[in-house]
Amino acid sequence: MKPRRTLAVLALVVAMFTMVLPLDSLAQRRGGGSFGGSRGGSRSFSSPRGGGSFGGSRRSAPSRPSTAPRSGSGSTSRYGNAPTQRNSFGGSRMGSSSDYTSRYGTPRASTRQAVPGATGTTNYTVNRYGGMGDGFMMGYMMGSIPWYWSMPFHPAYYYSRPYTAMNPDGTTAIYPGTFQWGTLFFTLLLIGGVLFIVYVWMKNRRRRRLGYTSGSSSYDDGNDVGAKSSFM
Amino acid sequence: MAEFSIEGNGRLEKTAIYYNGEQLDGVKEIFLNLDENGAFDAIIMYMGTDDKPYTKNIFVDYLENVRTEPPGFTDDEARSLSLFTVISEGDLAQTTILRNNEEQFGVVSVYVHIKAPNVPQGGGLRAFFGGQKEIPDHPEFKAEIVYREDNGDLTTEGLF
Repeated sequence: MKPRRTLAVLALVVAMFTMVLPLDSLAQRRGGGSFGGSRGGSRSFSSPRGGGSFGGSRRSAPSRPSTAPRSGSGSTSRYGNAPTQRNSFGGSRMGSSSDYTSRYGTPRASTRQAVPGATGTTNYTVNRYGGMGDGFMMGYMMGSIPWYWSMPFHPAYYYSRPYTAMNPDGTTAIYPGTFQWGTLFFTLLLIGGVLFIVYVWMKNRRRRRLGYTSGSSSYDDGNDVGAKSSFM
Repeated sequence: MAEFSIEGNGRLEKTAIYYNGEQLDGVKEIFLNLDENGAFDAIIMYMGTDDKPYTKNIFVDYLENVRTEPPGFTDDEARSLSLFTVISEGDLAQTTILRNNEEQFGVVSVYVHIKAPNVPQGGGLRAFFGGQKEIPDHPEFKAEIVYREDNGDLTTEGLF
């Protein structure tokens, strides 16, 4: 029984560990494809070199030159994990907005929003499509990403981070993250695998217990005294 | 000369094996095939006190590490059971068959095969996923004796 228990516990630990991995981020690191991949070294979040806003160590990189209009106030107040530089709240940077709109159509609503940062306020064009990704997009923009967004029981886990693109007018277009079927598939595969292992373990355990029970009630145990049968 | 007895009612749950007056425990299989033509197979398989399986010739081998236990049947219970006894030295010429302590004559053959089902004993990855080291057997209980009647006819009877 001990090796089986050890194996089951090991499988559970591995499965749980794998489930909490941010699969979309991993996929983005791998690159490839128009969406969800990285475009060279221009991305600034969760980059493998550890220079992003999320994950890795904090560093102060100079902001890129921008033609975006700056607000005159020069506010330095920040809320939450508000990004300190453009496109730093996570997500994949696209070549252009048409990459997204060609696939998902035109947004239902587009609003301009200024997000103050350490180096000034950045203007974003927030494109909404009315789905669940809108809410997550705003969460990423605000920089408040709860830990449970990375857990399989939260819908945000199955959405990619928002996509960004530089507009010709200097603003940054933000598009909501998309549902990641691959994440869902692998999560279901893992959960199913864990459930299957638990089911098989329980079934074998019950069958073994029933077998021994019938053996001890119908026939004899090795240690019972004055048993009715010599057979075990 | 060893005395080997089987007492029961035809059900495995109520079958006791005695060897020289002691009730055995941990028996997995009994096979007796005695034939007037010379066949003399008397095999016992049991789990020893060291939890190892043993296969022995009942009337020839020493039953090492065999488990014994106090008698399980009371006198009242024993009245409803049949007792089959073989007293032998390991060859047919020196073999006596008794049924309910009555010596039998005119025996042509005795065939007894009593087998307890195996309980799967597994371990490791294979057992975890349902594989079993032992294929579970069905219990077997066959006990027949063949007599030759005075007119030469053969009569087969169940022992229990």
